[in-house]
Amino acid sequence: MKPSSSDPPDPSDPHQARLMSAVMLALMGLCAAVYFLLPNRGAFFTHIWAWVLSWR
Amino acid sequence: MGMMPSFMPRIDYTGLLWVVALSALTYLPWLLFWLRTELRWSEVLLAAYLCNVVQIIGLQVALGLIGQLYAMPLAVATFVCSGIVLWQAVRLQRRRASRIGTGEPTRWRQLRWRQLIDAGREIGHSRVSVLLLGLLGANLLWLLFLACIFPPYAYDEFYYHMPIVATIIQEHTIVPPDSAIPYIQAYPRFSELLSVWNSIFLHRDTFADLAQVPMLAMGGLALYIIARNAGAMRRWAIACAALWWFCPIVILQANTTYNDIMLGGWWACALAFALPNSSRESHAAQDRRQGRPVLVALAGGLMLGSKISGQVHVVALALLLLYLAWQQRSAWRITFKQIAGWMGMVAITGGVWHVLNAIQWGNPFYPIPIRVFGVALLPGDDYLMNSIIGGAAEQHVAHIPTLPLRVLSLWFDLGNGYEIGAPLNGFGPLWPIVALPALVLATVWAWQRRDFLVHGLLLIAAMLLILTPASWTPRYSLALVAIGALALAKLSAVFTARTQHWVAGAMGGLSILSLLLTTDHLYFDVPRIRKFTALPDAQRIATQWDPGSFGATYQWIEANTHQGHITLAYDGVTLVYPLWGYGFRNRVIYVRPNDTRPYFDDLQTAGVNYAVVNKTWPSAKALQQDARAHVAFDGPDDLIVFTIQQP
Repeated sequence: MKPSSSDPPDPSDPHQARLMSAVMLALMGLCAAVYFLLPNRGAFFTHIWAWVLSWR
Repeated sequence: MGMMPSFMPRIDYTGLLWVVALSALTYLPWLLFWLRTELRWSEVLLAAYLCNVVQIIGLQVALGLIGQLYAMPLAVATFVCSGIVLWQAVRLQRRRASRIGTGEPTRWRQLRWRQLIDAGREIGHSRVSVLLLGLLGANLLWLLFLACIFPPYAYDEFYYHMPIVATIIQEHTIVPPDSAIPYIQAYPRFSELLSVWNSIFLHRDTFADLAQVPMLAMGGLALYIIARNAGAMRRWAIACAALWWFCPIVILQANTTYNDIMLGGWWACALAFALPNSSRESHAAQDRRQGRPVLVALAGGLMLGSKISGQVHVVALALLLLYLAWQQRSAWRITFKQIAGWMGMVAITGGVWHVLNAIQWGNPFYPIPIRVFGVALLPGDDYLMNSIIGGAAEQHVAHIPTLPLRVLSLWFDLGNGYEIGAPLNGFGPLWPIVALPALVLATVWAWQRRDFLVHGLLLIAAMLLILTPASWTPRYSLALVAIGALALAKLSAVFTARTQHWVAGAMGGLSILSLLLTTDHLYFDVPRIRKFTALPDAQRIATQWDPGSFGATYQWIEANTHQGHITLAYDGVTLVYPLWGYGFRNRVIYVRPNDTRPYFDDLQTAGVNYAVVNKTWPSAKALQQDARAHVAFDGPDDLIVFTIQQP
């Protein structure tokens, strides 16, 4: 997604901003991996599909 | 109903209109009242909601204390109170306009439409914000539909939340009668009073589960305000609010009479008005003029009166206020005086249950026993404390040794699927994937900038986690969500615009996932939704909801108490609520067995027609041995019904 003209201004320290952004995205990726790869996740998500199908 | 187009769900639209109109009657005057201040629109909406709830609860408490909690006096008191608020709003606005001078347009005319238009433009440009608000709107409509077609349906609702509501409506007082369910007697009941409000005028529970749905929106609005005060732009603040709006346990509890989301929501409201605004110099005098300390106190009072752990939250809030005063370098003497005054306001707003408990049990903090070095100063109830602390829930986390590990691992949703009382999950994917990294990063970043607000709040959160029973369960630690929103808001100043887009985009996707995971849960399977959509309102009752749990005995009672004026007594019955029947038709009381007199005599004296007792309890044996008591129904479940002939 490209930033538009109504975006918030970039922070005054671009180096720190890039570093913090990278760390945040890395942490999010790590936490997402843990969350989605937990052993019980299969049952967690297949419920949704069964529920959607049951409306037919 | 007969004129209803076929595509419209079968809902009692007239009743719904009544409930909405009465709530609007109390809300709108407060909206006008707060519009005269310098608070922002979002703050005005939240302040009006807070005052609206305090008015609804306050009037019921006042009438309930004198035993006059009937529909008509409550309606009259509401009209009078709302009229006074409206009159005050107009009077204060006129006075303000005359002080400013006639040249300047008054706030009534301005109503700060410009602020709303700007907000609309900024939010409209952000696809993620539009998506999140659209999802919120769709979810609110879905919850409204569910709340309208289903009766109260969750275990604790049958066990004590709805019996509290029904008892208050039956007895017209908030002073609890004798009960076998200790929660009914020693439990803060503000949340239940909101369901009383939704039920007392129609004299049925059709909309009882609708009472807390507004908190789903308002808790998020509080997070939005917290984020805006921390300097976030509107679109980022909406992403912060999503932490609450799409938190599964919040969604699941919104259409019940459980009170966890009320506690977490009031905490967020308190923070919304307590935390400093980073875009302006915070002046205590200005804050006072805007009414912020009063609003924080009202939120504190609502916490105190909604749940036993609200007491700990109030202490945490007082510590936060002390911390903020220290940050602003206020004089200690003045600070302590202000905090003492604030605590007084909190006690007046929410301390009514403490007064009743002190009178009834000799301990305002009942059922918490007050002990010093093992010596009991004030009596408590250890059985009740154990059930509150969740001894049964403890077994789920016995393999996780420490509290920090338990809290952290449960943030990742260890259980299989969501449910209202789930001990092992509830925060959903947004919390571990977005809020947890934000908390870590904000802690480090703010430390470098010598901005210790997040750290102060995390210390207070740690205190809450240590002092709140079973705090590792997400539904008991919803206060954390507001702190996560603050951390995320703080980081908006440091991320590149592109990162903000990515994070917000990820939050949009995770919010959709949260909604899907929450919609698909065990209570509302498709056959049940189809069945209840077709049922007339009078048949939307527990025996239809769950014939497995409410079997033959409940069905016999339902079929044999239609003539009205029936009094039922119970003993050894856990799920009491269905005994009231549709429209709170029956009178349900507890008659405590007494060793010195035959139980039958006590039941007869109390005017009981049927006694519903557990077969294994001494009261059942006493009635079986009494020739005057006849077995009316001996079902295959644990219960037996006796006819008590009146002389």
